[in-house]
Amino acid sequence: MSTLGLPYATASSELTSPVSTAVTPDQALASTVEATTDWRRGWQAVLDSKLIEWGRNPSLLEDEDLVPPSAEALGAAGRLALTLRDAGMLPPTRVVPVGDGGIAFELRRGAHCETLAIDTNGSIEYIVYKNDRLMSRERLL
Amino acid sequence: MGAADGTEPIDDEELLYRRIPKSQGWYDPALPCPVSPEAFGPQKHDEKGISVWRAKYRTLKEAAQGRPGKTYYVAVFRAGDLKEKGIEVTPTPHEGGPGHASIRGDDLRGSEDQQGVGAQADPGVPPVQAGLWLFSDPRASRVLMLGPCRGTYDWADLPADSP
Amino acid sequence: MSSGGLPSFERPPVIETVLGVQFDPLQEFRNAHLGAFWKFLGPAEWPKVTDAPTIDPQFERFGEAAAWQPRGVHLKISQDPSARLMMHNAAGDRMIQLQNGRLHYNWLGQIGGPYPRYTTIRPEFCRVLGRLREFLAGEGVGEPVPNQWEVTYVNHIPRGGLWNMPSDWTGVFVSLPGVAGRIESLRLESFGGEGHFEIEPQRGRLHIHLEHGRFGKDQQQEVLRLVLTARGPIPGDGEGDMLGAGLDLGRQVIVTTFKAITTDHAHEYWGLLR
Repeated sequence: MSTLGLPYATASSELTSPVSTAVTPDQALASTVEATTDWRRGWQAVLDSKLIEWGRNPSLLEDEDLVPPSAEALGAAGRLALTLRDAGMLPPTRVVPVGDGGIAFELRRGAHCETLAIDTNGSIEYIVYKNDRLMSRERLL
Repeated sequence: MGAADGTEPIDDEELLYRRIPKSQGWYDPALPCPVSPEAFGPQKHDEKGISVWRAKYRTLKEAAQGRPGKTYYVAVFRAGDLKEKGIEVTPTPHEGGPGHASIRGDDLRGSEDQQGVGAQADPGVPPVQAGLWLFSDPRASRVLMLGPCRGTYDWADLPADSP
Repeated sequence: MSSGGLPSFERPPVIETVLGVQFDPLQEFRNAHLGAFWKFLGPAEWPKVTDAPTIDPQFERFGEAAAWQPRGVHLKISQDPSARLMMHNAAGDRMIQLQNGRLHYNWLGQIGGPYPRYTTIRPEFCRVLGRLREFLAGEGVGEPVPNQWEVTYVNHIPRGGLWNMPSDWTGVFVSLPGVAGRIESLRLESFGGEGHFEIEPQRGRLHIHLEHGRFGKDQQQEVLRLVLTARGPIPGDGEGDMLGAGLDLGRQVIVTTFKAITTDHAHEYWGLLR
């Protein structure tokens, strides 16, 4: 079992707190469930319009020397999408093939850009940019 | 001196082209940040850096030439704007012919021991990701996205002042 | 259990409350028991059900048992298929949440009904807990052993009532660091934060979370959202209703603190009764 530390896993900004608990999580409150439901729909679009479609029609992505996402990458991306969806995480801004058989989930928030890069063999890397600079990359799976 | 063979240094005012396949979804004008960092990620043909073309050696149509039947965008940007951010563009005609240049060390999916240009200049400063900077920094306003255009020279309407 | 002496408001800004108990996970409990419990309660009374991911256990620890932890959200990528079941009543103003290791009872105020008060909600929660114990005993799954009590009040303070612009927030809260006092050429746009307080002596912890944002399906309503959660270990030696004592303590701390951190002007707006 691996963990993703979000939102910004940079060593220079990592803070620890004397209190590890907090208010009841939003997942347990009806007053936020509606927002979470919208997020679920966003993730479903990732699954239906991107991943499943790419698996069904890889020729759509064939171009020059670019390689469509591998079956392993699609499988890992699908499992990742379901996990993040069920955890109530914000869906990515963009899901794109990387061109070498992998897939990238990108989330952009102001000056921050986070990428979950799924490799052609299904491994996952978490990459963080801040103000357009590569701040960190961490192999997760 | 000044041989037109693509080895001469790149002037700050030179325009550079990067072809971006529409098929990959790396450019979406509907999004707040229309270009994905993947558009500037190293591909198979980007052997030792991110490939770009010098406008003085290639027309837009030539830069847009790709696989027949496929559609491409062309990102156009000024070499000096990259240089201001600490990103060097080097003439590499030996890798693709006259006019070929490379943005070196732009670390996106490189090996962990790759160092960006910015990092070499100042070890404490992480390297700038060219693609992100070009298309997310409002100061980098002199980037023009042209297209869509097809690999078979079927060129869409160009803006009147396009290079 | 009484309200004697505790602050009470005629029109409190509370929109949701939660009474909860965390218990030691039962070895033989399966997802199938969630559905079976729903049937046991009666689908006619709880017609709307939803699956959700489980909530991690939270233990309030103090002194040597506490440890400095990295901040931020942590996500588990896990093969554990356990789920949480959310059951809504027909009126849409009550919700039961059950997972192996946790039972929550929510009052939902967004549909517009008046706040039914703790003295009404607490017995309802206890009835559901009693039904759960009955169900688990009948299934031979075991007896839930509580280890933490938890009480949450969610308050929405909408724009247009007590405040119209962020600079008005000093009229709602007694103290907001950095907000009081005008700084030249700066205009306050938003503010948020959290606070954590030990309920002395180590009887639990109160968490306060304040955020400013838009709420609702169309994101039209701008609100200050104030969430107070009190949580703590089941007190005493297990004799008597120790869970009930914990819930009562949590509620007492929350309502007392809510009054203490808000202004007299806000109290008047909400109709402070005592």
